[in-house]
Amino acid sequence: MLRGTWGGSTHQLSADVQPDEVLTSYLFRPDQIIRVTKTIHHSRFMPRRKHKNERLEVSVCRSSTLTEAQVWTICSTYFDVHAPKPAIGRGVGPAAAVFAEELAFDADGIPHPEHANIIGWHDAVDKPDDELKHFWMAKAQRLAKQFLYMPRR
Amino acid sequence: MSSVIAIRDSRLIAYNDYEPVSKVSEVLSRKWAEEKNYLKGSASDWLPTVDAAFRSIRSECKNADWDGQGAVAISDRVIAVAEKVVVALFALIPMGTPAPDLIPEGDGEICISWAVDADRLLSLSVGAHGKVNFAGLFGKEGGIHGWQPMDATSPSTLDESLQDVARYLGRLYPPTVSRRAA
Repeated sequence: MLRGTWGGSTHQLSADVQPDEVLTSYLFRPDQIIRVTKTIHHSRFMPRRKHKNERLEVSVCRSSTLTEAQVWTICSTYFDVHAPKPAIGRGVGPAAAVFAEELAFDADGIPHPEHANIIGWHDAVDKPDDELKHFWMAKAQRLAKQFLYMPRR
Repeated sequence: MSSVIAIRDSRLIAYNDYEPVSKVSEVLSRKWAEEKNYLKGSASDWLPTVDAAFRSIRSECKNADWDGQGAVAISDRVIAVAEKVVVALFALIPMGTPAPDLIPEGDGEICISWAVDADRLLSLSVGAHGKVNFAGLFGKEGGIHGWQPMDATSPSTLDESLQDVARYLGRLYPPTVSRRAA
């Protein structure tokens, strides 16, 4: 139902995410901003499993082809409706930072055409997540420091 | 068992080379750490900041899906562990080290973070599972990440569990004349 609300930008996105694309990660908590660096906290890039034993992923929005207004229309339509409060801003950074960490994208286009998941996180079936988490923290830290915080207008 | 991984060249700065060998010397070690920081007065330096953050997490993250993306609820037990870690670290680290940021995490844990600049960061993640995960960047010195067991059943066992983490924090905020006088 929601998919029909946002038809996508007027520009065509490539099937695969390119290194020169810009990504957006929406924030709704002030503690997800690092004040001294004006970047977002790595917790926004900590991967999750949708269900137990499923692959680890982080949700992002491909925003290179979007106007500022379009970025926030997507946010209102798909993020704000689920979050306890409307987003206060976004982290904006390069897709190249994801590739630099030897991570990859699944540009699934669900629930909107610009949606993608960052995948390829370190995983091991014989170890609990609480012994793997530091691998994700290290990558998420290096990623997040390249995502500048931009307040919502 | 624990695991620590150093990324690139890692040079540890040892500012506490005293290792207790008995129960009595453990007490002495703790007293020494407390006395070393006597100028800070009390834990009240950090408490207003961290108390407010814990209150916010307690009220806003107590139910599952608190972020609308399927987050695990942050339990009172996890908050209690994080509070103990913050208090213990306060006694172990160099004077003048700023209060950490406390960030709720989607897996029901709490992240305790410090940032000097974009290349000098340290974060710990604590839950109710008796382990602490950590990751840090130390500029040109490289980075570290790992996990280790954490025993929060008593102040002394917790102090012992957090010695390495306190050393990493000391790399981020090395003792200086101005910090000593803070």
